Amino acid sequence: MSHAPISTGGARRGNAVVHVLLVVAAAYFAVPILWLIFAATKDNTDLFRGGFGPSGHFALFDNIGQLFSYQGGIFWRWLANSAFYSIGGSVLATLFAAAAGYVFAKFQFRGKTIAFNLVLASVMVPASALALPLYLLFSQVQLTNTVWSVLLPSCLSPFGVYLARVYTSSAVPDELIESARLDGASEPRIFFGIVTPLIGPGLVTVFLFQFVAIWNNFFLPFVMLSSLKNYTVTLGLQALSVTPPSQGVAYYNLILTGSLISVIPLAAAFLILQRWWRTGLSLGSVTG
Amino acid sequence: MSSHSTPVHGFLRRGRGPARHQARWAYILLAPFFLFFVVFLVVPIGFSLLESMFTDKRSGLGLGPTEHVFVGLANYARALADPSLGSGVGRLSLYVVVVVPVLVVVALALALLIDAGIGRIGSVYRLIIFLPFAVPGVIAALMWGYLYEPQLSPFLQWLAAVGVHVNPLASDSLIPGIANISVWEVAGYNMIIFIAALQAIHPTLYEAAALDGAGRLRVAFQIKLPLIAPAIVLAALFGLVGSLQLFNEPLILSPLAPAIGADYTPNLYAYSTAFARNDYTYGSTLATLIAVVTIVISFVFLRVFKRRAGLGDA
Repeated sequence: MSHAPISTGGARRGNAVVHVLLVVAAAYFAVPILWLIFAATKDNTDLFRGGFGPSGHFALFDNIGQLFSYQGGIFWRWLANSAFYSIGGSVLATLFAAAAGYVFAKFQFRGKTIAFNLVLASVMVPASALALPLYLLFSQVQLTNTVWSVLLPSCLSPFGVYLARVYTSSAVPDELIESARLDGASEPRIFFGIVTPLIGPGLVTVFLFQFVAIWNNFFLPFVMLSSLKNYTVTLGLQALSVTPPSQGVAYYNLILTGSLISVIPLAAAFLILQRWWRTGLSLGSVTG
Repeated sequence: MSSHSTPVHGFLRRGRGPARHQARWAYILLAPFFLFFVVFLVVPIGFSLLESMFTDKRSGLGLGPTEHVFVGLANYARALADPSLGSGVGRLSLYVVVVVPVLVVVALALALLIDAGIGRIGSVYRLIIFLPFAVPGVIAALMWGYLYEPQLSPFLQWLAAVGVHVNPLASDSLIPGIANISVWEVAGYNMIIFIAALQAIHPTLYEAAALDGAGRLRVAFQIKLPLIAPAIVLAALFGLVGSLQLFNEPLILSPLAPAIGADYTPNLYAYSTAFARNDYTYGSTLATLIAVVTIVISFVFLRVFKRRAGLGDA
């Protein structure tokens, strides 16, 4: 890991400029989140008074209580759905991508180049172009508005195949595989016992990448789902933002509190897995 | 590229025992991905293309059953002459031209600043700047929607206190407002990519530059930037592809911003055509057009920046 050498002497003033710029940038990125944290502690009256910092009345637990009892606790359902789609989809996508990447890296077959180019080209296809025809196809088999309509398309990661191939090429020596075969190891044994442990950090990167993509994916669930009970957290909060309240002011406090909660899973995922995905990023010089 | 990779002899009939075992497993390992690939990517694309060449005609005075009629490219002709699509494309072009350069430049600048040898505090800055990435895109739009609302936003109230009355949700300042949300969401992520690329630069290059007496700015522009050009091109490409699909932010802001109609961006227009007006065939046409244009622009972009992207003269 190389940094530019730490500056000495006469570059002090330059250093100050760098720090000032970075502080300004950090403020720009962090302050809205800080506002969100404070806003989640306010009830609607305090929200409408504006202001940045916390108000006198600490309403966070009230908000959380209201949020989780809205419509019989559907927020729990939304959280569970998001987790199911994201974790389930990412696990399967990573597994499939690792397997395909391994084959592309270590085997030769007719049409391999064309197949791989097809996979690469598909990364350019925007997901929103697929959502509409997917909806029409799913409705033919009456699977719209089910969990499968969101989960199944999320198991696909062409970019993951590319990454897995790069990782396998650089981290798994051919000789290792050859000698394992000579020792009589079966192919599945080689893949699961030798290859996957070696490209582990890379696979965590693939997993995280897909996890974030699915968690953030709004268009697909938006198109597929019409019943609140199958909604993701983001879709649910969006629905809340356009629902006229049965009484009183709009659901601003619930939406903001829910938004704050929805940040936690992604942040947690990154923090927990950061040891692996940092290594994964540099494995195989993906960026070079 | 390995020269020892295992040959899979096309068809399973050939080859001895071990080779057949290997061949079979190669296909088994490839199968799940390709199954999903075909079913959830190739088939939808094909279906979208197919549907775009049909139309649902109602017989009689609209009381009869609908017929699925083949109309060839008539839907495309309709789309190209469609003023709603035209205005959506205009807005989208403005947005893309603003967002992509700003995004890349901001992420690059931040990466260069953090890589400028400022010591351990660099990772603190990096973490803070990356924070918005943990906020799901739609949530960020919701959040900023409230921050753009004069009644709720402390920032707008501070500005109003010094006499500057800004309402980002008013019609003519909507594009910068949306662009701001996008940059806020994604700049940190691109910055991380650039930092990883910068850290892969071999330190001996810096030693050589130091010997030549190059200052930090020169090192940044003449050594670092050219060496991470592939990462920059890739980031710009993904930014381009992503911003051409603009849908989430306008949708989320639409309850708060009366200027956002159902045809604000091409993607919004395709969606509302299909679902609000139940015109699935024309919706498929629009979706296909958007996809095709995106792919074409991607290819042109990669062509233009082929050398910088590290794709060589192949």
